[in-house]
Amino acid sequence: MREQGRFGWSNSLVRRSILWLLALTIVSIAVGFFLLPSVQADYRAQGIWASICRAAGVPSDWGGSREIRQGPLATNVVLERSMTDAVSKDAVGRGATLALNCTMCHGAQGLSSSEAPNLAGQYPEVVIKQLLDYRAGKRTSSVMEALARRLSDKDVSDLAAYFAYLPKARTSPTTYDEALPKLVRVGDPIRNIAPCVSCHGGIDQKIGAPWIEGMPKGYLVQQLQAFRSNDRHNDSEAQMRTIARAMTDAEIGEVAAFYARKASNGGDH
Amino acid sequence: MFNARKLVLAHFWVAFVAFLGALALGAWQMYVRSPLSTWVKNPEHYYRSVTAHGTVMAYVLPTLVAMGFGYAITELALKRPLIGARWAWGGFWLVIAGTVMAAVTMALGKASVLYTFYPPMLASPFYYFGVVLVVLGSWIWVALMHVNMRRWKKDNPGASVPLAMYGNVAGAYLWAWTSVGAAVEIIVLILPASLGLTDTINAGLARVFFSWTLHAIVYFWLMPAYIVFYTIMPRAIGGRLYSDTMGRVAFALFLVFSMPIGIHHLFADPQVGAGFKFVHAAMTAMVSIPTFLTVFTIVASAEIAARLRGGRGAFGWVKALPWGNAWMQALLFSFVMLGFGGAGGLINMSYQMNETIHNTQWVTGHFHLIFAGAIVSMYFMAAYELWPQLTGCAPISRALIKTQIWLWFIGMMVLTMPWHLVGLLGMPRRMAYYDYSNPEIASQAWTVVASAIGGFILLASGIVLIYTLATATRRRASAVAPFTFSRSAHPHATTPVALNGLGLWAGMMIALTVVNYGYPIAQLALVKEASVPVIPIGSR
Amino acid sequence: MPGHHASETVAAAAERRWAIIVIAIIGVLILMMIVTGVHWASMPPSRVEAVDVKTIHIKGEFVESNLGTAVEPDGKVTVRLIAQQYSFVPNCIAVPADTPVTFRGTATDAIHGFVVGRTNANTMLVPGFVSTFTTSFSKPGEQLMPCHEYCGTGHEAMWAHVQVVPRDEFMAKARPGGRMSCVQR
Repeated sequence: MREQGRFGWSNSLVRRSILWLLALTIVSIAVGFFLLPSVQADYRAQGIWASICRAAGVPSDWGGSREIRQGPLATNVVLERSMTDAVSKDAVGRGATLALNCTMCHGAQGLSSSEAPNLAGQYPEVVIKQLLDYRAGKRTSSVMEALARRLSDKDVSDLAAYFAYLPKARTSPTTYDEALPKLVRVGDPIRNIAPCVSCHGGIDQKIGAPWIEGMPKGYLVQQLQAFRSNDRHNDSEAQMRTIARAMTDAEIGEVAAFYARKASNGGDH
Repeated sequence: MFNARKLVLAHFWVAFVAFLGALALGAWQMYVRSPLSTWVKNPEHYYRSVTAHGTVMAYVLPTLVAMGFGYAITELALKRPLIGARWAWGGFWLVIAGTVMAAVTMALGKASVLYTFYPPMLASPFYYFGVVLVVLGSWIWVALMHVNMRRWKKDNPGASVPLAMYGNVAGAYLWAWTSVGAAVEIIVLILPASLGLTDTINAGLARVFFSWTLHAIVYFWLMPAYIVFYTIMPRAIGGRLYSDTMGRVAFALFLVFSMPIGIHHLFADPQVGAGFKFVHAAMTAMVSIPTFLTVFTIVASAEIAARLRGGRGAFGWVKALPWGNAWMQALLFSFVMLGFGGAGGLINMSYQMNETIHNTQWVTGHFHLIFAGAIVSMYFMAAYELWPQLTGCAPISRALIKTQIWLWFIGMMVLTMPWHLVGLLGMPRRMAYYDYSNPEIASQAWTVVASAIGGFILLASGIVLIYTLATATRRRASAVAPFTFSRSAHPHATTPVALNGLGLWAGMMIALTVVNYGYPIAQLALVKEASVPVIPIGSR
Repeated sequence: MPGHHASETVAAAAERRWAIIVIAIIGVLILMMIVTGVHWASMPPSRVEAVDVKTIHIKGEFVESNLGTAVEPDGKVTVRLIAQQYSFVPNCIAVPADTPVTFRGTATDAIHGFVVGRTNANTMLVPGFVSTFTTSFSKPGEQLMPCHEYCGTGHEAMWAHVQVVPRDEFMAKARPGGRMSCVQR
């Protein structure tokens, strides 16, 4: 078969195609940017140019009520990815010195033999957030609030660097069989309980979610109950309170026992 | 065929073996999220499987089939050796390298971000490098398709480019342009964040770039199937192609409208304005036109076959079609699935109707029906048709072909019809398990069981496919008949010059992209709140 | 040739019929989009509103105390919510039946989205942007509200509930400046 005709504006197929495409584009732009936005309630007030900009995606708002119901904030801390980065040896050294004040409750190597939580190997942003929350009174504990008030921002990040540097209590489970409690492994969807392993390490770690393996069982039970009763409320946007509220006492005991059991011989290493 | 036999075989074999692996994963996924199974032990395993299934089915299978089929068409339609066979092998090995890199990373669980990437969640950079290598390999193919067509046109001035090659190169140009979106997303936005060079990522902009690729990629997948419809089917069922020119019009329209419509994937998103959403919706309506044209042209071509066999009457000719012919059955199945899938697509594109089904299982049912159903079944037929040319075997056993395509059709209908329904009932996508003890979800359970059964039927079909192709060389042909494409009903008609080249249409595609995507991209890049903290996946 | 001409006219007539059908289908769909767009000015999310995701829990419209269902001074009902890995807050949303309800939501980390039961309340929640849409619920009772956009390995556990309360009962409980939800404390 042979081709026929000359390519160029004089070719009717070329000319008609281009003109129809232009027409289609102009009409759809007219409808999308002029006709449809003209029915917005605030169109008449702000005029056509504003409507076109909004339709194009220039950031704007819907007007409406600006009234914000203020209440106590859960936390003032903004979690930054930079908090999770590795830090200098100097920071670790300074943190070690500061941590001498912590060993009575939290153990010599950050592994406690009391009901205080282990700090060894804890993610640095977790330590930073909790200390800052204690300092601001967003998390309550007479002992910790007093201690935290003596710390500067630099002290806080040095302590976090030191504890992160220490070896963790133990490593995560490698098999995901039915031996794990259901809530740990698969959660409960309809009650909106996510699997613990999807935030607390194991398969995935959400920034700010602590490493909890090897934690003293009493501590874990106490904190989950505190979240459930709203006594502890420094979790941003109720992440843990939402989950704890849906848990029964038996479930709290079961997951706490699972995570605590992972430590060998009470936690001394 | 000349140089390209081994090249094409390599592409097809890797594609279909990967396909079988991904099919098995898909069947497992359907099973494990259905009431037939207890919940998966570790939800991450499910998402790992979905990532692998999607990556193979979306990036590996169709790319390799398009490339291999493209090389075959270049030699068979232009009737001369492929220019640049060495480069073609280079492209093939790049695709393999990328596939292996991505596959290993996925298998290790370091890339469970699903094949749509989902920033601000970030996987290991090796996954993204793997995808980039696959795309780079395919760009070599694009360049070769361009070079081969241009050289042929220079050597044959004034001659009409064979329709199969025209569609082939249209698909290549379409892919080149549309892959730019995902390439920019990966190279500019995702990789720097995944490599730790930056702590924030513009997730909204990444979604817009991905939408650039996301719709047109399915038309890149569709081109080989439509080439089969126009240039192989009519011959295989004993008819003529009703209109060569209409085929070109369809390919040209796909080239123009496939790409600048991607924002219909973002109807429910808050980072794009309604003006652009409407424009994309209206232009998506335009991309349905080449499919409507194709339906007419192919049915008319079939009617020619029926009348050549003595069919009479306004509808009576349907009885005279060669219903016993495996190709006729394949065409029927593909068109049935295209009809249902296309109707579903029309609903998805209708801006406000989309709200009812966005991100529900309706969407998953839709794209399995239209792509895995209507399109991939034509990939099978292309392979069956080319196999004697590639391996010197006798024509493939009709009984095996029919078994395989019947299983595929039945499996696909059983898989996707309940899926559409459960999407209307509100079942969300991409969950590793569902609590079927809840009364609302319990009423949806039977659909998931049905879909799981469909998945296993499809797996059986995939096994028959591999078996058929692997054992085909047991029967050798004494002489392989030369390959012919379908004849046009009006063989002495001329081709309009605008439909003998692709420059005008590619130019329109690029111009429309600037109009439809230019401002949304520029604007989103400047909104500072759009840069949000990254979320590297995995445990620390 | 007479035979050739006759078949050409038949073909041309068939092609014209098909073209009319195709244009009609597409025309109806586009018209429907325009008509519903005029009728339903704010659904799907049609306006781009940006918000600073890092300080969302500290200041602005989406602090925890401001989330939930509010009856504005002018009588409009607005539901404010956020999505995070892996819950919506509030994860039990109370709305009045047969009343236009405006949802305003955003995400604090990954991209989420939700659909309410079998209704057409359906949107994406992208960090950095506020999604707004208005709908109304006709059937009283409880509906499931799952997250429908993959957001991580806990996505499958992200289910909230929507309780559609008869309008009078709802308005009787509403306090000016208050935020309602059905979250069990």
